[in-house]
Amino acid sequence: MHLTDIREKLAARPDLTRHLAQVKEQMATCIQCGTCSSSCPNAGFMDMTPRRMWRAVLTDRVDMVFSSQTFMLCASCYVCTLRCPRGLPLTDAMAELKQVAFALDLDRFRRSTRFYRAFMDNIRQYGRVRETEMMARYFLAVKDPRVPMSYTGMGIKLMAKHKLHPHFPTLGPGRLGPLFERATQQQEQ
Amino acid sequence: MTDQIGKTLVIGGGISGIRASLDLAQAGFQVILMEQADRVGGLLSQLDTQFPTSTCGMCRMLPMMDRDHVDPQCLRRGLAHDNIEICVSTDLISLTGEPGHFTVSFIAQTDGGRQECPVLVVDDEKIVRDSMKEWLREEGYPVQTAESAATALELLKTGNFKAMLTDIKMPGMDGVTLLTRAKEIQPDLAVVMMTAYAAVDTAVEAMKQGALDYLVKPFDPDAVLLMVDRIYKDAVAQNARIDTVDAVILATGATFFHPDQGINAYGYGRIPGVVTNLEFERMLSHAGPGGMDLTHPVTGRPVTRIAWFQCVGSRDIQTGTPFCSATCCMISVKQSLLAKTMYPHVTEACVFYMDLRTWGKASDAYARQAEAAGVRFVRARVHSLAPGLKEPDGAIPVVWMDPSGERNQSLFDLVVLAPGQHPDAFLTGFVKDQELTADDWGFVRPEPFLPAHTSRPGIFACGSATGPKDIHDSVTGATAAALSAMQVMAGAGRHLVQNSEQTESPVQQAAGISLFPGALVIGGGIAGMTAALAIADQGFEVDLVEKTDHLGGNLVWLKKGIQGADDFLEQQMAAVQAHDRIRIHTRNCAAETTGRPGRWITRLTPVEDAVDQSAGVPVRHGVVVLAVGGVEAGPDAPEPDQKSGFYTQQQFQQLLDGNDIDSGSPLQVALFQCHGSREPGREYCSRVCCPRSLDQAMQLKSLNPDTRVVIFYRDMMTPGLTEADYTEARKKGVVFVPYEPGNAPNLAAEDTGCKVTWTDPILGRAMEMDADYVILAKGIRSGLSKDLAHMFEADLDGSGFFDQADIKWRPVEAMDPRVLACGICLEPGSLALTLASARAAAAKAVSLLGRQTFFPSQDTARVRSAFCSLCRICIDACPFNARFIDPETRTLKVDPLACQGCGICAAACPSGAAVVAGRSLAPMMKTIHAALNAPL
Ligand SMILES: Cc1cc2nc3c(=O)[nH]c(=O)nc-3n(C[C@H](O)[C@H](O)[C@H](O)COP(=O)(O)OP(=O)(O)OC[C@H]3O[C@@H](n4cnc5c(N)ncnc54)[C@H](O)[C@@H]3O)c2cc1C
Ligand code: SF4
Ligand code: SF4
Ligand code: SF4
Ligand code: SF4
Ligand code: SF4
Repeated sequence: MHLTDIREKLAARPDLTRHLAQVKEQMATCIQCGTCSSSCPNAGFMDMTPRRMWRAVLTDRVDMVFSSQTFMLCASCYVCTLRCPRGLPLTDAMAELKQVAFALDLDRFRRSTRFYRAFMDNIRQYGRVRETEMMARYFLAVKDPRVPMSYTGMGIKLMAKHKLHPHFPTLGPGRLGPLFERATQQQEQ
Repeated sequence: MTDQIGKTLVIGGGISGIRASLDLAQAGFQVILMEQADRVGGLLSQLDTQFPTSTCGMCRMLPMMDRDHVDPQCLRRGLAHDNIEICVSTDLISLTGEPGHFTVSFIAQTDGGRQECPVLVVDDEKIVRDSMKEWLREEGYPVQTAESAATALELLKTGNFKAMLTDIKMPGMDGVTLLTRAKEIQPDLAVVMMTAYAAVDTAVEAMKQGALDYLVKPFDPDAVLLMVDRIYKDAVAQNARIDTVDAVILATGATFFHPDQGINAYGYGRIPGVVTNLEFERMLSHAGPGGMDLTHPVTGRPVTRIAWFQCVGSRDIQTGTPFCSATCCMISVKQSLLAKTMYPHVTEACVFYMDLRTWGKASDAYARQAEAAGVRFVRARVHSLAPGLKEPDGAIPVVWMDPSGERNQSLFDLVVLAPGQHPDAFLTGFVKDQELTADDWGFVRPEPFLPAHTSRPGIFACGSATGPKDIHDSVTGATAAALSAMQVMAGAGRHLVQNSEQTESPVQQAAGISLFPGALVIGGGIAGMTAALAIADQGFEVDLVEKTDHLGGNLVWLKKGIQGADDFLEQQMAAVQAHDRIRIHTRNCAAETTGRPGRWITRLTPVEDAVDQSAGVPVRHGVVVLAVGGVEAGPDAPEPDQKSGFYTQQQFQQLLDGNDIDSGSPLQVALFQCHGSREPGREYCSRVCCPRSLDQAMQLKSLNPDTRVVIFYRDMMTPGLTEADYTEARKKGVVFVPYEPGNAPNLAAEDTGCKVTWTDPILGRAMEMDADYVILAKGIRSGLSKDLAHMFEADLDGSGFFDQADIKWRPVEAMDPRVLACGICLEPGSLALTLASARAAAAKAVSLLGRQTFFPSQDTARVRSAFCSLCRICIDACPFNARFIDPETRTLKVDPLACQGCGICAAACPSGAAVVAGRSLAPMMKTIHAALNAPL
């Protein structure tokens, strides 16, 4: 299902195809040494190690690239970027794949996409994260009752440790609005 | 002026410098060998054994002629030759002039060297003071530090400093005020300002007030050292010794990457048990600190598990090193093999590598030998090391991912880092002062087709100063550099040192043998032509034999594939044909030879229907150069299989050169490396096919960037600076797929083209391509036949190439130094290497022919003719064919160039007529008695 799905969606979006080509070009000198994979603290949780991800990018296996969650699990810790003998911008490349995946709006990334969006909206609005409200908006956005259910256990634990504050003192609007606008402007240029 | 003796300055006393000096000295020229350290030998004085022989044998470089002029001692301990003036602990101050007349000034560190140049470092930051102190001390400068201007002024009043390096911004008095005050105390003090980038203006201002220069923080050690070096040289210039020389050979080698520089991911200096390969070399050495056992440097226990990490400070953009250091893979192969075989307590020897660079004719078999001895080779790069806090005995946990993404962990007692070779501060300074052309990384770049020439006439270079090299390539390059210096000296009309034999005893004179004064060169490829030209240019007659009807050999098909080779071949051919000392015999072969070595009479016979007039004419020659080249190893079919798209590399090159590839629409091309190479039957790497494939891949990509090019390889052999091409090909989108001998890609010929299927080791997926072309890299096979080699008492090695007297130390000659070889019948290699070996062989030939007459030395056998009954027993007993009966005098003679002084003849001779100094009955019996009685 994914293969045709992804290829079709990409074909309809030449801007994303170009974006992917740029990532490929950035990564061209990778020598498959695996330093990134062995240094990545999250590699154990990834369905595909970073090295395999780069290999899939370089051999044009978009189907493999976007059926993986690897770039979603990248914590942007920059360890791989610091260690890669080719000096490749690996963390940035992970972020770019994330962006392409968001823009493609593939089903499989819907939850992550919605999560990121709720998180960013929250920050934009208050200048910081109000966890309770953020989660509420996230649950509304995914439109799937199973999702809030899956968080119940964690919610109760957090509540017991007083880590969740159902009644948050009202905050004024954050002051990060102009910053976001500037960033968007710059990106568009 | 013209009746001067020729003299060359050799800078650097490592193996390259020693080799070049010995070659020049043997040829009869004078040499000044200048070395910064307090002894010659360079890196080699720290290595007991070297690959690919697991022995040393450096003494085999000692000359075969005029042996009495050289002290026959271990070359790793020292060198002494009548024609070589060795200046150790010596610094070059300046070098000016041109070929035939260079003025050099230099100073011994003992009389007014760096000791006489005390430096004062002023900075409020302790770390700056301490690191500067360390760098400068290491170079031999006395250093004092001050944390403030006030302290500095106190010190200046008491001490006599030559230089002061001062920070500008300091609490209390600032650096500029300090400058003014310091100049009041000591007007001739050289002051260098140190400043952050933001304050450069102030530094420039300070220069108007008398500062010599400034350094911008953060600075690297080289910049500081170069600055102080400049001050030092100015300060001692008036005490320096001045000399004139005709030519200069730069042989200063390279330095090693310090693994504690930069991010130091492997914790060198922090984690006990992480050592460099040079430190490990000392641990292995019986003479080293560890004695007989291989013990852990901290715990002192015998080491059982050792890991080697390749490419530390090589092939790593993060350390500014995009090139491969060419030798470290083989160093680790050697060390792991020795550790595994010499020490039974070493149970685990494991080499972590990316590509195992076992290029050259003997290296791959050596690596297989290590594998057979139980060394594990793991294709992985370890990202970093942390001390094993939880592990007993401080074992170091090593974590790596295998291609499938599987995480592995093992414990090791020792981790040996294989650091890369980098240009050193001296080289950087020399290149700058002499305005030499260097490559992007700071190594001297040789001129095209002239392997030892720098961009400055009269200044030559060899060894790792021209890019990372192993012993074999360094030694070959050094002899080639010696030839270039000889050419300059001959051009300036210089003489040789007077032959001292003329004053020696009449007994010796009587036993002398003289060579026929010409050379026979067999093979008219680029190697043969280059050697012939160089020998003839030095004034000797050359007969050049070529079996086909044209000169040029392989270069005829290859010339368009190598930039500039077309014109170069044209020029060389014209020069050979026009030379009045070279007689060319095309369509001829050497049929048989008679006479003694050095007095060969070789009969040439025409191959079928030859028209050459000289056919059957005997050639008299004193040396022979075998340059019969080689061919692309066994193509499956002489013609390409065009239907399925199968081509050998050579066949495909012709297609590319003829513009016969239609790439209007994107093609699919597979290049298949090591096809039939590096496996039983042909156990060596041909060294040229990987670079050639990269070149072909890039050509295909430039014909059409959308062409899909996949290279299947075992290890990409792009040692040294050719690594840049490997990276370039990746940039162009060429895909590289590694394979192991047992699981090569599957090729299935189809009606048109070929289906290639393989499993990508990283993706773990089956892949395929419908290839329009499949290009097979077959490698090189030697063209030297047993018959030809045997004709001159030489032999073939296990791979069919010329068997050298010693692969490292005497790389272009047979046991008999009059039998030389060069080009790809000597060893597989690039055009650059071929030219180096050809020029090296020519250098050897020229120095032999220049001497002409040779006398026995103390080390060679003599004959007491009065006792000799001409029974010939010794002739049969001598393993080196050194004894013969002179037909003219009817006496038994010893060939001093062939005799190795082994003493077998002395034991065999029933009449006591064969004698070798120190090998006669009495001393031998004494030695045996002593050995028997010695306490065990
Ligand atoms: C497949 C292949 C790929 C290569 N790729 C590269 C590359 O990419 N880059 C690079 O720098 N180098 C490359 N080389 C190497 C390059 O061709 C050589 O370094 C160089 O041409 C060798 O010169 P030569 O004179 O030693 O040998 P040859 O060019 O082989 O010349 C030997 C000559 O001797 C003649 N001869 C042979 N036997 C006799 C005899 N008994 N009597 C008289 N004459 C005889 C032969 O006919 C020939 O003319 C490659 C070589 C091969 C085979
Ligand atoms: S560390 Fe760099 S070169 Fe190595 S596999 Fe990862 S991306 Fe490629
Ligand atoms: S930046 Fe991302 S991919 Fe790289 S090591 Fe960190 S988590 Fe792993
Ligand atoms: S020879 Fe090249 S590949 Fe091997 S360790 Fe040295 S730099 Fe790395
Ligand atoms: S293809 Fe040739 S150069 Fe490359 S590794 Fe194999 S034998 Fe060596
Ligand atoms: S037997 Fe040994 S010592 Fe005697 S002539 Fe031969 S090589 Fe020399």
